[in-house]
Amino acid sequence: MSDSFEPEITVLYCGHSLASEDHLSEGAKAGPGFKARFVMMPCSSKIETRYLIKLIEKGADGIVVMACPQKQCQFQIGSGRAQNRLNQARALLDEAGMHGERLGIVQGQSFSANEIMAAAKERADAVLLLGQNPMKSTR
Amino acid sequence: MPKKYHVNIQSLPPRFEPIPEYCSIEVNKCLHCRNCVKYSACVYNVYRGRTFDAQEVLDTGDSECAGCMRCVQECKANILSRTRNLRFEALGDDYWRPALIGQIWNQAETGKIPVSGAGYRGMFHGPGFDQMWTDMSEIVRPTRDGIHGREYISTLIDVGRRPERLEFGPDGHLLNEPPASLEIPIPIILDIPPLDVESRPVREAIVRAATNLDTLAVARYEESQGYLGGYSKNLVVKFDHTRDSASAIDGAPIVEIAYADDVMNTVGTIKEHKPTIVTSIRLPLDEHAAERASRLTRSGAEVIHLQASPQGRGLGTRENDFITNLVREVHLRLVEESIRDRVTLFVSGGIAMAEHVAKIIICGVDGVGIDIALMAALECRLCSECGNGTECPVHLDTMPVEYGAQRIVNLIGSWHSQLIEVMGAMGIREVRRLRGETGRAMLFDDLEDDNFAPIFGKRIGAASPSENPGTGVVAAGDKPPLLPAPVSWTFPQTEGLLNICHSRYRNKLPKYRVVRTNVCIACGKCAEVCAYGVHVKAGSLMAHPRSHLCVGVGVCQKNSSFCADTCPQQAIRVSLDPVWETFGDPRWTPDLIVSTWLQAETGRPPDNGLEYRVGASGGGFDRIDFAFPGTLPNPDIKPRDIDLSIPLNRRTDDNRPPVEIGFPVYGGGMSFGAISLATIVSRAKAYRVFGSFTCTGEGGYPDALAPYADNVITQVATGLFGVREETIQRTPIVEFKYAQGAKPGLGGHLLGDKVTAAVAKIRESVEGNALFSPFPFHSVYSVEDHKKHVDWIKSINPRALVSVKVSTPTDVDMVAVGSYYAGAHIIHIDGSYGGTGAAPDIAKKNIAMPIEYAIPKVHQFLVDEGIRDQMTLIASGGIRSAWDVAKAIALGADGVVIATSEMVALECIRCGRCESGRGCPRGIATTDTELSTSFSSEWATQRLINLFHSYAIQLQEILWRFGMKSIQELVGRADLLRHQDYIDKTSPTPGELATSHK
Repeated sequence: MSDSFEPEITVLYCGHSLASEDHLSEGAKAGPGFKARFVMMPCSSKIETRYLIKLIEKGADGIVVMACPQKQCQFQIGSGRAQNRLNQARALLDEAGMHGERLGIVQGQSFSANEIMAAAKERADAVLLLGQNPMKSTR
Repeated sequence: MPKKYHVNIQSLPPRFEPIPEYCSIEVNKCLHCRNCVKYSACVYNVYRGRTFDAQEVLDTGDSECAGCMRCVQECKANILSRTRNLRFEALGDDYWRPALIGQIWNQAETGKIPVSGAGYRGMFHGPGFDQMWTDMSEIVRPTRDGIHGREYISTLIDVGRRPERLEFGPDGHLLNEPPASLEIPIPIILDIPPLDVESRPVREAIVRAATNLDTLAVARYEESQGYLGGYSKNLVVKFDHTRDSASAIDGAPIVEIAYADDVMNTVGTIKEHKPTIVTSIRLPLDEHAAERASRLTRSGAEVIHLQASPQGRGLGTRENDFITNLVREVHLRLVEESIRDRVTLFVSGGIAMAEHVAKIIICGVDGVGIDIALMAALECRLCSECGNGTECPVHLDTMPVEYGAQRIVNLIGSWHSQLIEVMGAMGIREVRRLRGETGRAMLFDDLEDDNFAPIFGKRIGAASPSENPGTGVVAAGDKPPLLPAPVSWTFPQTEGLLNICHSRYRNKLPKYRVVRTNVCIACGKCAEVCAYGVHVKAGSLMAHPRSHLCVGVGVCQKNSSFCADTCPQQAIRVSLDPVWETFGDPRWTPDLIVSTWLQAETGRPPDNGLEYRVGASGGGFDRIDFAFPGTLPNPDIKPRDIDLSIPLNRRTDDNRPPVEIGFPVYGGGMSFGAISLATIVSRAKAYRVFGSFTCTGEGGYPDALAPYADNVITQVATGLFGVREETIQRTPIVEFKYAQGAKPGLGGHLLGDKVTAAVAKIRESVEGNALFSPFPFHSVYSVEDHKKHVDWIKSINPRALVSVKVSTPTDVDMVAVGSYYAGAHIIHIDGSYGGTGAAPDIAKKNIAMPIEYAIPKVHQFLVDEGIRDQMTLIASGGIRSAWDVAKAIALGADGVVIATSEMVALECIRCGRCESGRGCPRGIATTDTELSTSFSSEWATQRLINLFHSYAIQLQEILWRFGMKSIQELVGRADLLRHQDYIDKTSPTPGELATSHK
């Protein structure tokens, strides 16, 4: 693992879970020791398993999904579906020897921008131990 | 004639996948039925072609999706849904709205005029530009030729000071030297976007686009001395006399100086060095703007460039005023002082759409500067994060200059074409003549004051529709209102013909989403409390919740019968279904669409809480209510006996036969080509039941309609497609279509994809070639010419009545009277918010007035002219419900024409894809050989009979509440209406209002 490794974390957050007064710019932003990109999703249930795998394939070092609590999901079951899909993607990554821990999910409501940044940092810390996404070199 | 101007557009796909407005969602687990609707139901093969764009984190299918909802409604396991895309909604701001940005992206990609099917979808009116409608002329020189380039509509403007007069010496030579000026071929210059974007590719792309367009781009002095120096002939160089050198400006035709009290000194200094250069003064559009503009003009200013806020509002203490008003103030000040022609006026700030260009020129400027729109053309998402350390999401710093320039050229090309469309409809052939022509525009306040104030009293301004939605019902007096009771009688003509006619689709679209989780123990308590059949216990099991029957949390909690509260396991969740927000629009709300489906299914208005009477457009019919009396004035009347018939031939000066329709509705012209043959035939069958008419539209008279000839109106429109003597002789009514409300002044559009072999044959045209009707009739340039047309029809068919269909320009009342004198029996006015198979979006929203204003205007004028009882006044264009029908009649119409609501009855969801490709994914507005067999004419006929029946009994109920025995008693009874935005109405008596017509 290189000392200069700065994980690239993609944060997929349900727009309904963001505190209404907060704003996250879409472009990638540098955090302390990592780089994060925030992407607003219409619902965490939009995040299909193949999306997570594809993002890893394209070089994301880690992904964190920010979802609503299960009972508060606009589709009522979408947040649970997101959890299931993430678990499935994790299993696939583990199977491929690529560390399912690259993927994480946080369920909650009215996330502030700082909380989302903290979730990205937490995932970056986890990824730091796993090392760079091996797919990155093949991009 | 000036040199013809042409913009070289070139289709240019985006570098980044556009963010879609809606997203499809697969919420539940798939059934694995092996007959997936993703492939069988998706007409446009969206699911087959979609990919996941990992760079943009987007499902590309969401951008391609037509929004027809067939997959959602047909999936066997009902696992598919849609939702609003919050990422899309986060784009821009309150003014640069996401939809607006999306439109700019689209125009920058294609360079074409946005054309879509279905009618206007927005609010009735809005702030600023949305308070203006442009005019059109029913009878003008053939401006359509100008739109297509056979004649020329000039968009050229002069930039610079103009002499008041020319003086010549005795030998004929010019004595006074003309001041410096130049011409640009479009009234648009490219300004510097106020977004703190310093990216060199962006700046260079904008300036290169200006060069390609032969117009001007504003540049900073240092840029003009540096990397933009090569474009100097197209630059407006910003100049600061405290640091810049006038002598160093080389080649630029214009310099621009920021306003200061001594700015004319700076102008003088520049002129000393460069006498041939034009000077422009950037003047804040604030409280001093008019006075300063006057002073500068008197002092010799050549160009004044007004600067508004990026959101199209004023500056300083005028920050709440919109530029339309502020520009008019400046313009009128100069006009009043007789100095307007000396100076060129530009304005920048808030110009975001093609229609804004036309409208602000009408307000008084010569040209506009566009700025933020240029960034949107370059795919910018207007996130305003430039320079704060965030990576640009569309990497404008690496954008190829040529690519960016072409995107801007495409945008301006589209706007130029749209400007020509607007001018063509108005009959104006020079954009210079458009300047200050507010007489050729209609302003919201004026329309309200002229047409509504005499009826409703004093206007108090509109509350937001969400605060006070229209219901269509208010009751006078202290007694409790008569709320709509379940309507149980059957309209006499349909005795035995009313049958339940179910949806073609498996899944209904629910307003509320009811989910029962797997902790359910099937105790059945929910089924016991639910009065609407959402929860059903089948043996020892619970059936899947029938969400479409749910009336919502509020109603059930109020009645203490909320299923989720009674569930011992807390297994039930109820909320608004996100899918409900993904279809419909303010004019046709989801409630209105689904309630129309239900009326077509059952033949009666829905009783499940859906609002079936009004939309949510915030104006017109949606803010007008009936003021029912507290008690029944005539309780002896039975609703089913109330007469809904109206005569169509009221003329006493000709010997044509009387024609009567059984209810005050007939079908609007929809041609073979625009809609399928099954739809056409089913309309004729359904109208026959009600003793009324359908109309062929302008696409000819299909043989399949011949058996229903007594109930078919045939149309003679400007394209004369399929017009034959034998079809005119066959029909009881011939309709001259001068214009259509959705595209006034533009003629019909049938795009090439829909011109199949069968359509081409009947229209005597070529398969695959787009058919644009000319505008106007090329043989009609006067009322006398019009009369010759009417006489021609009358001589060919001695029994036929003649209807004249026109749009709603400012002089629609005069047109109506002209039609009477030409010999017409019916004047059919088609409002600007009406439906269409294909029309430019700019025309749908902006040209001609909404029907709500036109009806009382025409009605009153016919009364004043003493001919109201000789003419049948028919209204159309935005009649969506039985309540709209009744309101239109109370405002002064005798009857109405509908069309969109018929489509909705056949399960149109207003996705707007009628116009091209395979056409309507739901098989209604299509000529595709497969899609047009999606339903049988028997099914469609029953749906339409049911809808009309529902309308008829609602109309009878309305009349019953007023104690009226006939629909004809309602005509012109505007005293029975209330407008929610008006107070202090001094109710005129029926005698005071125009009721001479009985």
